Amino acid sequence: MTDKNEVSSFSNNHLINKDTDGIFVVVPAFNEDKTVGSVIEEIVKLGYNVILVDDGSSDNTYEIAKSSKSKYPDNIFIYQHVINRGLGAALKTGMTGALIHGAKFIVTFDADGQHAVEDIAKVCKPLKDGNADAVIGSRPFEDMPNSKNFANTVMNLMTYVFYRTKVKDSQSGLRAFKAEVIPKLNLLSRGYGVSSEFIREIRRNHLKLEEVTITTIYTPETQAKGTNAIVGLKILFKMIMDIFK
Amino acid sequence: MECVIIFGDIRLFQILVVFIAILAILLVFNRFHKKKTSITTFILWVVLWVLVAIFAIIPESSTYIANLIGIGRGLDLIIIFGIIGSYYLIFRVYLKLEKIDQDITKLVRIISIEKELNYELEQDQDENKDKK
Repeated sequence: MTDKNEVSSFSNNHLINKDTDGIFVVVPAFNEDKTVGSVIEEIVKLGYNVILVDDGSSDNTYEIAKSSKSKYPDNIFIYQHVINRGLGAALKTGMTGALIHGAKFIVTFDADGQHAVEDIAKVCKPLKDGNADAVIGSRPFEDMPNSKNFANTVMNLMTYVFYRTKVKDSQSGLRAFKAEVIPKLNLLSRGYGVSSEFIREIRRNHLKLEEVTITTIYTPETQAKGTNAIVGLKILFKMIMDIFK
Repeated sequence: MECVIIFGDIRLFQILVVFIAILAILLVFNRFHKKKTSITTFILWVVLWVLVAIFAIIPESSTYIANLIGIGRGLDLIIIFGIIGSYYLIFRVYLKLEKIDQDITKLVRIISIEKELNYELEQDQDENKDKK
């Protein structure tokens, strides 16, 4: 391995790495006790800081996250919603938390284990190089199961119709932003609609957007969540109602 | 055969509607008096119930207005405006609910941030104690 992933360990398990300094990975989690511990620990081992938002889970997500925090107290920060508020709300809490802790770059990352931790560096690179203000990690659609492929294609189309922005994967959970652009993003959607809202806000604020191809790990658990036809319809309804506001 | 109950020239439904309207106005007035309702809502409800009572007592008045705006029957006018009004109210309730929803989210976020900050503070204090 090159120096890139070289991690020096300090007392209190504080991990410092120049390449990952200032990068905060926001992980929203709702009933993800099977995967959350391994996901956040893997991220921390690479030297990133993790902001975990437990979105009112009824399982052991919070306890597992707390035990991970006791291993890496200076790299994992936990926020807990007392009641479930949805993906959009959890992401916003996480991003606010990252700003409080002095983040320079903020990455959003799903807790269900569908993303590869190595892709965090990939989505951060255009930000560090100064080529972009926001990066979206796009999953190759040809690898997706048919139903997901269809739902995501429809969502891309809807995002284009409503927000006039063509992106390869509007519903991707892996995104990266420069910290200074976060306060400009006006995110209102509580649920999965937030993914399309990110695209709208990127366009509204004239942010430089880059798209990076990422790998997606498909397991039965990761397939059960995310955008399906019903979620898609709900997002469409929300987009139409927003026009009348 | 005449199926409706008539007291002189007044029909039962007219008495019922006027009774309900008076009751509704009294209820709204009570809420307004206890400062539980704003003056706008109070006036809106009073106007609405007075109109309903007038249409019940003088059914011809609705026919007159209906003819004015090109709708055939008075009852049609009331139903059409009733439906439009209901939809408008549903929309208002939807917007209000969403506002409440956003407020709850904000509250939940503030609680989570406070809790985390307190946790960090406690941790710092513990560390300081250990050092001493």
